[in-house]
Amino acid sequence: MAQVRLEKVTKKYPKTEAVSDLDLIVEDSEFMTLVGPSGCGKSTTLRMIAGLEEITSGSLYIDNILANEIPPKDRSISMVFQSYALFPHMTVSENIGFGLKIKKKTREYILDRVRWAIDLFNLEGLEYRIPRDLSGGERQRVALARALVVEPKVLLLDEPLSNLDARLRLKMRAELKRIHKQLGATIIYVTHDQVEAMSLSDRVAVMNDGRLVQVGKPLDVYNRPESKFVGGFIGSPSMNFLDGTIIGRSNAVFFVTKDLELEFPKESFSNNFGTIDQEVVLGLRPEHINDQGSTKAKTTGTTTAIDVVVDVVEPLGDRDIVTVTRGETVLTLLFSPESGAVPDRPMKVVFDMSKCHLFDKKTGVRILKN
Amino acid sequence: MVIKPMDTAYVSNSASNAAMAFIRKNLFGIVILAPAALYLIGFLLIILYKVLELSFTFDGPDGTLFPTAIHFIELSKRSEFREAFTRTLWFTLIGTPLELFVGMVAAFLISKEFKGRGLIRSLFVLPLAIPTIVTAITLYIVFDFPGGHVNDLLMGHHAFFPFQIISYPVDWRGSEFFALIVSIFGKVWRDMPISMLIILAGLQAIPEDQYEAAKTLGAGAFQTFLKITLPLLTPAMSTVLVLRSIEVWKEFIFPFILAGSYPLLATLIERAYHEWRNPNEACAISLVLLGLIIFSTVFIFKTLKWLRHRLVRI
Repeated sequence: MAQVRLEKVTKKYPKTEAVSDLDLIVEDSEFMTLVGPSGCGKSTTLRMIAGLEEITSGSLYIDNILANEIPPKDRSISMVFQSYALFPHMTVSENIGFGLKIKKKTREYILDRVRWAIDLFNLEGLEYRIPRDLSGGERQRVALARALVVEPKVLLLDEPLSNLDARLRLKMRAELKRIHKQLGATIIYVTHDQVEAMSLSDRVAVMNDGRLVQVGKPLDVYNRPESKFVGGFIGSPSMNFLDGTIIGRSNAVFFVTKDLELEFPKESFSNNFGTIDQEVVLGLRPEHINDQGSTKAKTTGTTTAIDVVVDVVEPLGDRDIVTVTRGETVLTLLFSPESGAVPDRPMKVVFDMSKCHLFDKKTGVRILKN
Repeated sequence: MVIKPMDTAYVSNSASNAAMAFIRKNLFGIVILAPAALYLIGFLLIILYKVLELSFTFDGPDGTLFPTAIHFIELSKRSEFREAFTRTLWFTLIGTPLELFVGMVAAFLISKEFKGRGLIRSLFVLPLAIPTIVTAITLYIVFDFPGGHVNDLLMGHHAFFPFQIISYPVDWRGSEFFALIVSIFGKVWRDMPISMLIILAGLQAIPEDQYEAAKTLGAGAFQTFLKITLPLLTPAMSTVLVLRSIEVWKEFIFPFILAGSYPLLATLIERAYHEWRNPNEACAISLVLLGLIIFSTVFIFKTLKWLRHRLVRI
């Protein structure tokens, strides 16, 4: 297993620049996830690490060896594709053993390793099936087994779970985590699903528009997004954004929009603002706006309740996603089912302003320095 | 006993009712299939029946003998038949793999995107646009003796090829070896586009991720070709081999024009009918040819299936 280091890596196509000046270090045995919306360059980055795409400029180091010009077959990586790319003319065993056979290992060794992989991924009884006769989850496990059996320095996973149904995806997520713990492999994982990114990774790298926008532990990225984009992308349901102005008034600081006036708690925010009267975007996650009666609302310390009108209630069982309006402002909230939110009825909600994020209106960069 | 006729009447009536119901229900399908069915009956079944009948019938002075293998026995005694048989075997053994090989080379050449690919592809399809008889006659002229173009060329008569390979003109069509080689050349040249297009379709049906997966698992270009491209191409290859081998077995025009003195089985049929005035033996030869075609088709299918497994076994 090994470290992967990207320095100023850029990928240009004739008409577009897919990846720009990417700097990223994936540590030995780390589970790193590249996450971002479609077309953000995350798959291209992975394919450059694999050697399936040329690097236009910049350097890629695998295990401290410059790998730009090393052909994929000699990079000691292996990759799992979104489509799995199992070889349709080979049985499960032959698929798994392919990489070892190519490397001219002895028959005994290959059979031994294939046995090991079949045990690891619970594929007993499927050894002689061909991919066509496997279910989606089984194909997925074969693809993983095929990639791992060659003992790669780095395992690259390109949206491996996106073709599975929801239940299977949860199961495979746990499976992946188990495999990572068991083998201590360096894994680079690409997904557009931020839930997968959060739940699986040691660290996540959020990409947008060919650029790396934030790298960090999942919870750090969640709790302290460096930009409006990251705040909106990580977390489900998405963060609420409000355009407004910061106003100082009678020894207190307020965030004011056309429909709302919210007071910042003094103690934590006293020295954090650049400017009063600045136009900003305030971000607040759905779980940080609570209905007045809830225990969560009581512990926030804020007392001013805001009147809103409930628009839509989506019950999920353990909680409700509630859309409320106040004037032209639309907010998405997460309530416990006991909140009693009923469509078209007014209710009072409490904003936990100690959890809010402030972003520059023009650049989207984080302002609050807490 | 009184009831029985009524019973059968009832049964046959219900059967005809069922038949009518079936026709009403499937009228559209029946109308659509009728021309094809009539064609098959007219041009295949009746002819096959007649061929079988003629092959196994002997009209002797003492009456008609049926069934009899006498024509096959007579044939096997004819040196002309035995020679034609051997020639056809060689013709097919060389011609069929050659058709596949040339088609594959052409398909690989134009499978990847490059500048001028459309033009090259059009050029490669050109042989199909020329009537076979024209191709055959052209080759006849090109390989003429003593004054053909190839002879001129090899004797160094042209400024652009100033090497004298041979001192005397070669009678290409007068030599069994060369006559058959030139026939194979014509056949392969003319059929190359078909093989190429089938292989090309097969190549393009292989998803890119198969190659990428092989690459990331450590396979080089040659290994990828051997373990991925070739096995995944076997369906296209067996299509080419089966279709082309049938065509090569029964090839008529090229050997008829270019190797008149050295008949293959297909041209021997014509000779048996016209020169020997023996339709029974002509039919017998065509049955032998049919048997060979069936045998070789099965053989090719089996071999490729085996090959596909052999290539990927751990």
